[in-house]
Parts: sequence; structure tokens; C-alpha cells
Amino acid sequence: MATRLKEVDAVLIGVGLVGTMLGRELTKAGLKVVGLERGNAQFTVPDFQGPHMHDELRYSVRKAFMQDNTKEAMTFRNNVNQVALPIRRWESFLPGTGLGGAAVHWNGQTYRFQDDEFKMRSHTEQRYGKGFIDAELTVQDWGVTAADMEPYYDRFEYLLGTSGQAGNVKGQKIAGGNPFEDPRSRPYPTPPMKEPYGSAIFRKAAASLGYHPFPQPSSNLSQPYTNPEGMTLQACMFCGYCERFGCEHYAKSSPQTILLPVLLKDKNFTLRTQSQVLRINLAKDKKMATGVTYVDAAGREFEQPAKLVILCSFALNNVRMMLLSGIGQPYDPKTGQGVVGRNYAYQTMSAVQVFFDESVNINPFMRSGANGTLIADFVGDNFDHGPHKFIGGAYFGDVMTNGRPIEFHPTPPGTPAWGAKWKEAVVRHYNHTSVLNVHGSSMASRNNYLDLDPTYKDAWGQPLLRITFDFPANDLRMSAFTTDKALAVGKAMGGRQVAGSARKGPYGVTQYQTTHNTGGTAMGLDPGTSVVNRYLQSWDVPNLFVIGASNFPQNATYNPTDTVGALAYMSAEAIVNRYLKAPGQAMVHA
Amino acid sequence: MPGQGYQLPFTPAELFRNAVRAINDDVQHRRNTTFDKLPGNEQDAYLESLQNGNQNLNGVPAHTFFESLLALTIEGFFADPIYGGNKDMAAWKMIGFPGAYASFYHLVDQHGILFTRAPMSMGEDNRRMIHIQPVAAQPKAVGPNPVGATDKKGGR
Amino acid sequence: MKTTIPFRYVSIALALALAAGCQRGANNADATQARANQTAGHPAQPQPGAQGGGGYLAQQNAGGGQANALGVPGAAAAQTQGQPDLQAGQQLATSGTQNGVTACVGCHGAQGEGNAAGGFPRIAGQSAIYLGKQLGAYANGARVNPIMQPIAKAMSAAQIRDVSAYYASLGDTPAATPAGAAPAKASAGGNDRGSTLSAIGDNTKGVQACANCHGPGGVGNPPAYPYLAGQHANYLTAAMAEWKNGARKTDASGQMTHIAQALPDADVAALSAYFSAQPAPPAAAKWVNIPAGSSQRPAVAAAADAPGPRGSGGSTVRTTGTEQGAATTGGAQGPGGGGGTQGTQPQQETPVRR
Repeated sequence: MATRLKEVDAVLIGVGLVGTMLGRELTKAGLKVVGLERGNAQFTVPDFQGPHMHDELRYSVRKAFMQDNTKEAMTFRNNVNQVALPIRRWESFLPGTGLGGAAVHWNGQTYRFQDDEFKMRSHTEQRYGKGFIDAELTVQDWGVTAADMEPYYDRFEYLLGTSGQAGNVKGQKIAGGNPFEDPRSRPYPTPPMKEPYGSAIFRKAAASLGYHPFPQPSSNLSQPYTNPEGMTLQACMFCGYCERFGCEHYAKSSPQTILLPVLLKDKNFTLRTQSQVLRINLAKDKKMATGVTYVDAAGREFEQPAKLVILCSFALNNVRMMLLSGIGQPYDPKTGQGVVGRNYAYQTMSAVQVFFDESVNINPFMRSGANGTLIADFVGDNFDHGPHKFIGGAYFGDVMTNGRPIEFHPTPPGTPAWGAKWKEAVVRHYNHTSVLNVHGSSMASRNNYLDLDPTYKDAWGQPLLRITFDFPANDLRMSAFTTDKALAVGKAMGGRQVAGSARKGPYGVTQYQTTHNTGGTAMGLDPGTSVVNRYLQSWDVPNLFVIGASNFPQNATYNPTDTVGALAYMSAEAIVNRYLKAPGQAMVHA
Repeated sequence: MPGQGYQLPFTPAELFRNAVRAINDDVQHRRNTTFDKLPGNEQDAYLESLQNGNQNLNGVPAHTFFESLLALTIEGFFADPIYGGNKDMAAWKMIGFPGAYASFYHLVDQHGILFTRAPMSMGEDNRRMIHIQPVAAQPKAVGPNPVGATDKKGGR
Repeated sequence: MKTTIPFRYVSIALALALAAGCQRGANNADATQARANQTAGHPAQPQPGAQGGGGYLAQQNAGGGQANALGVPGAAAAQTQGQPDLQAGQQLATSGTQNGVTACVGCHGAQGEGNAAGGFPRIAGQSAIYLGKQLGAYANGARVNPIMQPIAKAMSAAQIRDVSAYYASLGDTPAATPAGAAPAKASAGGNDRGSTLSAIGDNTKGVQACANCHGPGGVGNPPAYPYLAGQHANYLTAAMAEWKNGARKTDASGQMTHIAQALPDADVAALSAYFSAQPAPPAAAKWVNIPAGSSQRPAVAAAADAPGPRGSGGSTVRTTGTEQGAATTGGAQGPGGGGGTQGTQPQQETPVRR
């Protein structure tokens, strides 16, 4: 029997990056807000300090910051003809848990999506004709443009202190930056990070082939910075323990370093950790949310009534929460009807290794999460797709982040997997190898979707999320093309040997690719193909906002976090300035 | 489907115990000795037969056991010495990995520098002694294998 | 020229480059890359003054894998800076020069142990690169100190290199008295506060654990981060004051300035008391790896009943990591098809004997 608590103005499902930002914006507007975080509280001191933080086995291999999948996992299959089975070991993607969410243990790679990718459907059809997009793909326009998003990208990057070199300020192109980027209103808040050796070699090779290398925008920070909330971050020390780890130096932009202490001081905000939200509760007519039900660490069930519900957990968990709560029509791949779970996408990854002479000391351990050099010449529609039969693109560069030896000990093809020859090869190549990542877009397909598993349940007795996904043929063609380009740059880097291959299907969950799971609660202008409107307000339940990468109608070329943060600020502004003036009302009439 | 990852009912410890028991039985049965007493090249051949094989090791497919063995070996080899492997940081010294104390802001732009500071463990104190939990000696099994080769039912 | 001290260093005038800092794009990549291209297939050019067989790696291998400097610059830079001369360094330390370099021993002691009362730091066993960087900073004003400035200014780059290398090699005498032998006065914060700050930090002040960069108990993290253990308390306190008031600008990352500004005097006193009471660490010069890529192997005692050498090992890779998980090559940063089917054949390389 759930204990009913006193009603508050707003409840946050998840206190990660988005939860922290929304908590701040709403409490600033005078709302009483409860933030429910299923994980534990954690702070830079003592939780992220060295040397214990620099434990590759614990954090990177055993995934100490990640969701406990003995309690709550997901199931996976490639297509509807297979039976989905639980993902018992996180490999392909790593859903995190804990206060601050994934922004505690992300890499800090911070890119804005391009305008053409916000208009994936209309832009492509306009430039290449209506038949150009494969029939199975359900790509669609977002309903916002890069210009619409610019002020929110700007605000978010200044919250983080992102380090970079602007390539286009108000239309003025600036050498050294990304010449393809949409205009930004001002430069980055801090200058680019120091460039490590392998990235410098890539830069010269890429430039020699006529491409336009630029520094990877980084929220690890190149120098001390105080953000508009009064939080001061320090310079990244290039420790090589970035993704999957917390930052001991107060350098990586995470809720703990950019905002959370400010929020926690606010009397209007109440944080409850170890609180597993089971579902969003709805009024009898199902047209309004009344709050949420959650279970605390002692197993006690509570009902937290709230006038406004913000669903801001990890993208996959956002979708699951909608399905568990019965909000919106679930997508059915057979009929093509329904929207919740529709347009699930991922990221299409490949890599190229460059093996150098022994005299070239790459020092892969002198690295940070975002300190590389890359080119955008093949991002989105930056090149003519006409001769090719695919849409989308990839960025690539030397964006290495670490030299942690359990998982990084590159050896050339043909090296035995074990034994004396393996050891020799590891010794020979460990400090003399550069890896180029090829980071490609992921199109939405009518065959790829999320729903609730019919068989497997979590520790609270609720169905697991089922992922049905395989790479669309379009994306494999894109990967073949862009990996070829990356191989060419790799060959120009002066190594003794280059090896790499494009992404091949079928998709499997046993090799790490990215944790860029997107879609399932797509934003858009048409409730027939989206779950939330352009302000991220649910079409079905007007006092529910869903914020995260689950809003992406398909996944663009770049990493998602900058766009997630921008969407959060965009939605928060709409809630505070418009929604709260007419609460309970739909802000967009379809 | 292989892309769906590990689905056997065994915990990692169960997987190892089951498979190692089967291997011990097999070597004893066919060679009348234990694995560690085989000559080096025969050990390698045996491992290769596991790597490429499908034989059932008390419910664990041989190649699955081999993958787990290899992964765990590499983890122990390259992990911090506090976990009991990588003794004296030999593996880190071999490749030049600096270990747990790692700040390279002042060196990252010295491209090509040869960094030769000895590696440092999480568990070392200010006298460069690594404090490791000693691993208690495992008791040796006595008597016949409780789940014999003739046992068709029961067990895993 | 005979050296009695068996360590060889390639260069520490790198220290001046460290003090100047390196901007993006202006780095050694050109020189190093050119060298890499030039030496493809051949060992690197011999160092000036190198003994034994030609080649950088051969030099490392000779002499039993003994130390190169902690953080040896690319060989191109090394060629212009040359080998440290430890005897010249010792000469400089004990006698000074005619042109204004006072003998170091006058303030820093016969063994480099420093002087507690005078606040002259212990420099024995300090990282050579760190010492060289400080001398460069005294010379160019990045670190303001009226005593050290004229001395540092009078030194040539070679002298800085030599004396730094000399002091880096000291400090292993089994001295009974740690630096700061008279126990530092207990500060208001006490040693508990000091050890807490050193190992954990303080979230309310945004201060990370000192150990993150300075090593456990402040034992040091060469080449860049000096030891604090066994250092004189009043020197440490004065150094933190220099960070705080801007007299010292030798940390381009800004971390030390922030930390010094965030810590109140009582915390600084607690840290100084804590570190000065720790045993002085062994000489940084000995704290070296066998260099990566060398044929030396670390001395690790084999288990008594370890079997002998094995055969050559396994066959080529089957599908790695299908059931178990991530491929054992690749991982967090080499996703996708790393190690795949396209690419180039390896160039012939001169085998390095192992």
C-alpha cells in the first residue's frame, strides 16, 4: 500500500544532467520541486578522487557506475522474427546510474547538430528528390531548426564551459574552427584543449588531403572557468580516465561541477536518492498526470503527487516509463501505427588503426575525454550524396581518450589472440598506435523500435524494455563510404600499417559502440509521428514533459549531449514562460 | 544469437568451476596427469582445442570457456596489482603504462616524449609498497568428482 | 668522460620548454614526425656522446636498461640538448662558478637536504625536470624570488641541466633524520586535517586530494609533480603563499593557484605539518621504468614451481568476444571494425632483437 505524500509543484524522474537543469529552472521560478534519483548520491570529493577512481577493472570493465542489470536490464533482438533475450552484461551501451547521471562519467564531447540534420526529411527530399530515402526509413524533421536551437546550445555550452574553436560566429568564418558549422552567436567559453600527439599527426594528414581538421569541442575544460551559475571548474589534467569514470579534478562538466550544489542549496528543492520510480500516475480520464509512484531503498512504496511531471531519465528509460505508465499509443511495427517506441536509433561506428614505427611514442595514456582533432567534411549533408545511395554521414578523427591496457592493447590483424607472439605484438604496438574513430549517423527505420518485453521482468516485477534493432542497409552503406575516407587519412599519417573495416551487420550487444541510444519519444509537429511537441510536452498528457535523447526522431552524426542540454533549456524556458501561465493546457494544437 | 551475448545460466564462478572440472577430468582420463604437468606445447595445443572447440565442459561450451578464460587472464594481467595479478606491475612496465597516478597536463603537448616514470599502483603507499589483500590458498578437492562422467541427470 | 654515477640522462633542458608552455599547433610534432619518417625501417640516429651501438633504443638497452631521464623528449630535441654531466653538476653545486652562481650547498645543504630554519627546500632526489623548470622560472620571473633569481639568471642551459640531474640522483643516503627533523609545531588543523586533505580533499572548497597529482602521502609524481613528503614545513607554507599571491606562475593548468586560494591558512599549516612529517622519498632518478619498447624485462621472481617456457601460443583470432563481451582489442575507444579487413600490409621493419 503506497504512502501518499504531500503534493508538490513538480517532480523530476531522474536527477541527472537534465533533472539538475530542470530542477534549477523550476525552483528559480518559485516552484517546489522533488527530484527522484534511483541511484546514490555522489560528489567529486570523496567519491571521484584518485587513486581509487583510476581503476580500469572496476569502473571500465566491471562498469561500477552503470545500471545494475541483475535488477533491471533490457532485452534485445535484431528483428521481430527473433525472440529477445536479456542483455546480461553491458557492452554495446552502458546505461549509468547515480546522482548526476551519465554526465558524471561521459567523455565531454560536445557538438551541435547541423541544420540539415534537424530537417532530415525535407532537406534530403528537396536536394535529392523524393525517392532518395530508402522506403524502410522513417526519418523525419524535428520541428526545430539549428537557428531555433542556437540560443539554447549557447546557454548550455556556457553552463558547461565547453572548450573549443568557433568556426562560424554570426556568419563570419574563422580559420581553425569547423567551417561547416552553423553560425553561433559567440565563441566558445574557453579555448581549445591542448592537442595530443596522435591528433596532431591526424590533423596534418587530413589537411594534406584537403580536409578541414578542427579541435574536438570539449567539456573537460582547457582552463579554469566560472559559469553563469557561479560554479568554478578547473582545467583538465589529461589523466586518461574519463569515460566511465568521475573526474577528481573538478574539471569535467558534470552536474556536480556545473550546477548541482546551487540547486541543492535551494529550499524549494528536495532530492531523494535511491528512489526507483515505477510509473507515472494518471487521472481517471488519463488526460492528466497526478504524480509518480516510487519505491525507496527499504522497499517502501510512495506516491508523490505533483502538478507537473518531468520525465528526464536516460533515453531508453524514458521510453520504458511511458510504456509502463500507459501514456501514448505504443508503436506496432506490423501496422506502423502508434508512436511510443517508434524511431529508435543508435550510432554507426567503425575504427581505423594506424600502427607506427617504434620510435613514435604516441603516449595514449596522456589523454582526456574530448581532446582530439577531427574533420566534419563527411558529416550530415556536408558532401554531395547524389552519386551515393545513402543519407547521413560520419565524422572521424584521432579522438582517442585513453591508454588503459585491459581494453586498449592494439595489435595488427593476424596477431594471435594469446601466447608469446601476442605479448610481443602488444609490447611492440601499445605505445605506437593511433586509432581513428568513425562516428556515423543512425537513421530511423520502421523495423527498429522499443516496446515492453512479454517475458522478462525487473526486480520490481515490471516488464523490461525490449529493443528491436538492426543497422538499416542505408547506414551500412554510409559506413563503408566514410570508413574508406578514414582509411585514406590513416594511410597519410605516416604509419607502417593501417587496418580498419566498416561497420557490418547484424548489430549485436557484445561490443562497445556508444551509449547514444535515441528515439522512442520523438519530438515533432505531427502527433501521428511524434510523442511530444516541439516544447517536449506530451501530446497526450499536457502536464508531462519528456526530455532527453529519446526525443530525437533519428540520430544525427554527432554525439547527443549538447543537443540534449539545449533541448532541456528550450523546454524549461517554454515551461516557465508559457506553460506555467496556462498550466494543464496543450501548448501546441496539432 | 551470438549478438545477444551471454545467456548461459552460470555465474562466472560456476562457469569456471564447471569447465575446469571437466578439463581436469579429461586430462586425467586421456593423459593420466594434470594440465600443469603437460609439456608446454601440449598445453598450447589443448588450449587451442578449447578455443576452437564445441565440446561440452559440464554445460559450458569449450570456446565460451576459452573466451572467458582469455578475458579474465587479460584483466588480471593488466589490472592494478591490488587485484592480485600484474605482480610488481610487470605488465605495466612491459608496455610503459603509468598506472593509477596519472596527470599529464604538463606533458601532453611534449609530443613523442618517452615517459619513463615507473608505474604506480592504487595500493601503494609512500614507500612504494603495494598493499594487497593476500589470497588464501584454495583447498584442494579430495575424493572423486561428485558429479561423475556417467551421471546423466542432475547438476548443470 | 667517466661518470661514477651510473645513470644516464638525455636532456632536461626540456624544462625550459615546459616553462614556456606549448600552444596548439606549435609543438614538436613536425620534428618528431620527420624523424619517424626518416627512421622508418632503421634505428634512430645516434645521440651525440652516445656510447655503444648506434640508435636510441640500443642506447637504452645498453647498460642494463638503466634510467633515462624521467620523461625524455623526442630524440630530435635531445640531440640539441645533449647529455647531462653529473660531475659538472656536482662541481657547480659544491663550488659554484666565477660568474655569479653561488654554490648550492650553502643554502641547500651538503646532501641537498635544505635548511628548515631558513626555509630553503630539500632538493635531493627531486625530479630533474622539475628542478630545471624551477630554475628556468626563477630566471625568467615566472617564479619571483630575489635570492634565486640572480643565481638562476647566471646559469646556462647546460648548467641548469647538469645541476638538476645531479640533485635528482641524490637522497638515498640512509639518513636517520628526515627533513624537518624537529617536529613541526602542531597547527590548529593538526595532522588529521592534513592527511585528509592530502588523501581526499574538501568538497566544500572545491579542492581535490593532493595525492591525485603529488602521489600517496606526497611522495611525488615525476617528472612534473614534486614530492612534498619530507619537505620543510615553512618552505611548503611559503610556496603555497606564492601560489596564492601570484608570485609563482609555474602551473599553466591553474590548479595550484586555485587550490592555494581556496585553502585557508589553517589548512595550509595542517598540510605543511603533515607532509614535513612524512619520510623523504627515494631519489626520483631511480624511479624509472624500463623504457617502453626496450628488450629488457622487469626482474620479477618466478614462482618456485612455475613451468618452463611454453610453445609459441595460439592460432590467429577466432571471433573474439562474441559470448563473453567486448573484443580484447578495441574496447572503449576502438569500437567498430578496428583490426579489420581493409588497410595496408605492414612495411618491412628491421627486427629488434628481443
